[in-house]
Amino acid sequence: MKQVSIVSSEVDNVATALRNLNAGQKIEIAWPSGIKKDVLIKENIPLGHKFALRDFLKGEHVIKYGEVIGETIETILEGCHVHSHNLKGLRG
Amino acid sequence: MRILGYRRPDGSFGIRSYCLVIAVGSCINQAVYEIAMGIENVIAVRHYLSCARVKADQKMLKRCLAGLGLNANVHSVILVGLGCEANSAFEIAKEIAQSGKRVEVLTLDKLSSFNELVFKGRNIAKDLSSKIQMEKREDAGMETLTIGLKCGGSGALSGVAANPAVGLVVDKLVDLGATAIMSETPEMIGAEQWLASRAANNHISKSIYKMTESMENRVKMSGYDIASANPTEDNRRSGLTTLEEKALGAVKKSGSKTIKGVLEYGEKPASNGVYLMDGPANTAELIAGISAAGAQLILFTMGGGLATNLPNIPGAPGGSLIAPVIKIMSSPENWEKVKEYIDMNVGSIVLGKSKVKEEAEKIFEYFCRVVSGEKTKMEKNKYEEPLNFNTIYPAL
Repeated sequence: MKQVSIVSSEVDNVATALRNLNAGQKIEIAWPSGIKKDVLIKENIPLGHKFALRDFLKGEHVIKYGEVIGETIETILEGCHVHSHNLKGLRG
Repeated sequence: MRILGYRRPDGSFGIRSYCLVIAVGSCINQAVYEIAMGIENVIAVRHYLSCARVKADQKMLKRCLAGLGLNANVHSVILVGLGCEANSAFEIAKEIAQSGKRVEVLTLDKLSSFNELVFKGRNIAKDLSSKIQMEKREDAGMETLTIGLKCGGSGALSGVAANPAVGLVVDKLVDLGATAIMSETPEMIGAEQWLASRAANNHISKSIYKMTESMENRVKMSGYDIASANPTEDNRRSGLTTLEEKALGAVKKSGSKTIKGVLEYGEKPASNGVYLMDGPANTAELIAGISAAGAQLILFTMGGGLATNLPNIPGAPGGSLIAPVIKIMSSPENWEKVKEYIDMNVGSIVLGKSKVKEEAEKIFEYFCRVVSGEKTKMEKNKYEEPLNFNTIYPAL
């Protein structure tokens, strides 16, 4: 089946959109090992942008490529856009 | 897994076979050009560094010129100089000759004219060219390979497509005993922690931090702060949020294996495995340094940036004189426009039609054919760029 998003590593908690995704769309997420999960997209996600694969509290680590890419600066719900408005790098 | 290569007297194997005509300093570039002109398998190595450089940069130039001569793709060398260069042609020749390769030195101060220099040089070059044509490929192991890594024209999807695919290829090659060198220090800023966590020991881990800090500080002297300027506005629009994310997407092309050491620009790795080399992202300078460090082939990942959107030019060029370049593009768009120059497209990952692992296997298969003789797109097009070496200090 054609995937509309990509999860780079088993421990990632965000996915990257491979096309523009629309709020309200229900999509299937596949981790590299083949584990799958359905996620309801809650906001429009442009191609190349990230969305949450679970709910986040403020101050949690966001993991992409299997590594920490920063921490959340507010609560983020599963299926929401993860970008500069709610994620900041740790390196400053 | 075996390859077919050209055996060198020091036990190394080339995947190509060239005679290099090397300018010891830029003053003799014209002679080098005239000596090599039109002779098959003979390459003119011209560059733009003369004697008006501080010692540290002269030392770098010497290391790189000797390193190019020692590269396993090189059959033999003709060093050409005026005779008054800061770096002695004879000393460089001595270093290369330790490998058992044939090395000739021609300096203008010992000859009666420029024309005599070119005449003598061409006679030697023709003789070496005919010897190269008689060489036969022999069976060799993967452990004889050193590959270089480079990315260019990166876009938001480079980090999820071509870079991780090449990372898997690197992991496989390293498991088979090969050596991989990744450079582009500016791109590592933000991913130091991950790279350091892969270091074989504490000393190497510290060297990684030292290398990135030094680059960051040198760039800061110009008023530009890499850490705070990245990701750029354009990167953010394309979906990249943090410096760590951008850097990790780039350095994932180095795979996941232990990092065995940090090299100076143009320095040869001491053993097999993954090495980081301090150097710029600038294509011509990176290719020169990584070839001097011994890379016989370069895997060049490309995104969908502007450089890959121009019709039939090899975006972010990277025609290499000594080590062939395999270009792998992440973006499925514009493929028709650039396929004459870019070897592979892994855009099916981006289209959700295939997995990184499947594309990595295709890259590996093509890689095996190229090391055993199949020409890359850039080689077929005879696209060659002049080399440029990376200086730290200003010209004097």
